[in-house]
Amino acid sequence: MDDAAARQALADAQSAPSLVTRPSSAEVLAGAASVALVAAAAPLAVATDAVREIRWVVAAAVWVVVLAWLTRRRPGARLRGRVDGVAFWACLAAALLPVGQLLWSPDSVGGAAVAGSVAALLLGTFLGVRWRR
Amino acid sequence: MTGAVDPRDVLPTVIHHPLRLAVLSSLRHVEAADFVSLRDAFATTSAEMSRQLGILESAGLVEVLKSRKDRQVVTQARLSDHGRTAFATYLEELRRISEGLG
Repeated sequence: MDDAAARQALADAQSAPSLVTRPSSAEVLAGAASVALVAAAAPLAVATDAVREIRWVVAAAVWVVVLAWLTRRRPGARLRGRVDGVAFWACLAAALLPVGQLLWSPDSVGGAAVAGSVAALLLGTFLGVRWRR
Repeated sequence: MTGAVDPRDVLPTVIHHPLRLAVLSSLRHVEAADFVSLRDAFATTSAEMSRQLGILESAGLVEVLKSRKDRQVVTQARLSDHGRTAFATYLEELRRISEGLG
């Protein structure tokens, strides 16, 4: 292969069509609902003042994992990158933070609300990056 | 005599084919793509796309996954881990050659 052929092959590789597809309406709706769920789960659980309500916080975190898996499964889904990877793990950590609060200091709804908001923001970032064309 | 290897000699020839090169380039940016999207994106026939994917699969560069949806077989293709690494190396070697470093 000579220099010109290599340049042509590189140009061909760079101009290859994109296979990235937009998410379906159902996926966007599920994403928006999930952001709301993650934002609400922790403060609602803490507000009930019952340790057993940890299950709702854990359920929200599990749903984040399921949603992340679903967004990768769709054909044409953008390849996972560093930014969405960081946003995902940070979201999961923020979503699970109120578990400790429920166990050891279940009186402060404010802390759980902040953690829930941060987790929701990170989930929104994650989804936004995943859905970018 | 040096032990230097000419990058032209290490380029996997299976990638040289224009359609296979383009398919690998496109698959590089997605988790997976369905067969119909691939065929339509490259404006080729099902038989030709199937043949090229078969060659890439035999070389271990692509994984072809078949599943059933509404009683129809759905085929998806994705770059294998080996394929992703091999293609990145291939592009790097192409750059070296085109810049006259090879």
